[in-house]
Amino acid sequence: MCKNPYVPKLAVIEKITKETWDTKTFKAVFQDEAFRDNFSYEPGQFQEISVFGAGEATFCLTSSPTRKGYIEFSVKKVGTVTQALHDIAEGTTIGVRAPLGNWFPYEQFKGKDLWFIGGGIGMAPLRSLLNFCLDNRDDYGKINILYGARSSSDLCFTYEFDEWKKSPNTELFLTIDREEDGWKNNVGFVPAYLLDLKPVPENAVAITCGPPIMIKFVLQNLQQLGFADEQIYTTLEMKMKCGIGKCGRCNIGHIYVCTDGPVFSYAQLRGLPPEY
Amino acid sequence: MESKTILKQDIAPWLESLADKFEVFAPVTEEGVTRFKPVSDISSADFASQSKALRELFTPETETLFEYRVDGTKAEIKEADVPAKERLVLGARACDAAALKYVDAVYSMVKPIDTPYFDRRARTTIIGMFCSNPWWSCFCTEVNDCLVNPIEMDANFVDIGDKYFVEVFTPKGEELFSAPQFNLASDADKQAVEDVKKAALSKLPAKKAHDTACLSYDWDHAIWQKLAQKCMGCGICAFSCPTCHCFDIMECSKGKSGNRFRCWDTCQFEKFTTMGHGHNPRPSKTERTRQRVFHKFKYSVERYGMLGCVGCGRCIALCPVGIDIAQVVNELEKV
Repeated sequence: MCKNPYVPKLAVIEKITKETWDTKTFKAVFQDEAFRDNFSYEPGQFQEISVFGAGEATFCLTSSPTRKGYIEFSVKKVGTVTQALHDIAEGTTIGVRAPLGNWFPYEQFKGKDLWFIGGGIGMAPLRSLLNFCLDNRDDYGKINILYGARSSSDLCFTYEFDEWKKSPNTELFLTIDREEDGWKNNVGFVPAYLLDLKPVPENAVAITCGPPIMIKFVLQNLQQLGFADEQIYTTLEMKMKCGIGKCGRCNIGHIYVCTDGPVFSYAQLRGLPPEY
Repeated sequence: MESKTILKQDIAPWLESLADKFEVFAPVTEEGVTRFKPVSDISSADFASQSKALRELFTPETETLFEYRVDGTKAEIKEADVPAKERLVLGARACDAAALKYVDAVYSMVKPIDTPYFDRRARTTIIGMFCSNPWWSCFCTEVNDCLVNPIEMDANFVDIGDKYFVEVFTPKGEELFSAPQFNLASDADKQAVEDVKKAALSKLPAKKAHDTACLSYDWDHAIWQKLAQKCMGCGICAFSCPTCHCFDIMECSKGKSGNRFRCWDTCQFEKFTTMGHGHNPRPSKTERTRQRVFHKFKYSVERYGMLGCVGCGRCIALCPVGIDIAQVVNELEKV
């Protein structure tokens, strides 16, 4: 009999980084050396993480496949498994089923200007592609990163901002919802800031992820700026269990987000029922 | 392959001769519920009652996926044991067998395939039992022709009085019926079978082209709100359905050890699609009843090229508020 696809691989949490008051990033290393050496994935894919005793939950891979030997995922504390993850210590053994789902079509993005538009924890899946592109810097045009959160203390990956800004032909635009003492960047919602920044649609691709309400207005504003539906990509969040197209809960019409997604162009989404 | 017959009284000795090789399953009625169970004495089988769907032999209500043991920061996984014995099912309904073709497609279209399911499929021989007396809610003939052209079974029995007529479909079936209890079917036997089939078909509805009609179903049809007001969200439709295959993955732990298991779940439950942070793409019964009907009659056609309903009629017969999926689709298809 072939391997049971519901049995995870064991991995050890090597490092836990506190991103914000409710979000942590976990760096995990597969125990099985041969598996670790052969493990590869693509930016935009996701995984099922097991905390033994609490259960299994779905998280995107936030690390870039260019940085080998480990995987990273960011977890906002919202439910049982995420709480259990927040409670564990470095050195804990977890289970991982990965990689799952499709990925950003980065081959098609080559030579184009990229606009990464992220809100809050929605930056996590974008970071995988972003660092992938920065590690293959010559393949892409100008890289623009627009990242917003409710407050400065809700921004994740702040320790990488300098590295992003220092990359050639790359700009980072930060925004928070309300004024704060000492904040030198933009104040306002992401979609509004996007309109101010006026990205040029010619030879550009926009990749967005964040709260549904942010995505909704980012899409509207990108269209207003002249971006075609085929130039806009997002990654969808849905309740998932199996991650391999069997358990039946992440469908949008006849499409399964876990296997046909989670990455979709807006042109693809437009043809689906409005149920996500 | 040549058709055979077996006297009803010879079934028991025949099955006894197979006991070493197979675990034999047949419908058994206990406390008012008929379901497939291992039988040692075939006289305990109840072929007349409508059993719970065959699918629980392939997708059990709960199934351990693996066990684990945690010690401090360390963890160990032990995969669930896979029973090796071959299984023989006697008395499968044509609709239930046809439903397996659909579940096969769901569990294999995207790799990796569902290995626990396909392991059970591979070690199960299926013998059908023709539905001489369809239930009032049956409508298999409206959605497919499995009643007269069975699929996913190795052989099919037809009750023709004091004996069963045996239609043989696969070499696996042929081998089973080389036993001395079987005789070649006579012309009179064949005529008897035709009569039985004709009588059954006369009680069933005519074929409808749901697989093309579904493409113009109305997303915003008024029927969804009507159904939502009626539906209690109990999920009996899904749990009695031979094609429903959705499951949850959960775990049960005590102290240092535990097990990860999957269990039946349904799109009719609110929690099915509610995410950790509270957002639910199908927040009310309006969306959830539409999901069930669309999944069976539309999405499955678009995704797997076949209807996700085999017309077994169980959900219609068992629904406590009388929701009838056949009536619903006919309403959707009214021009």
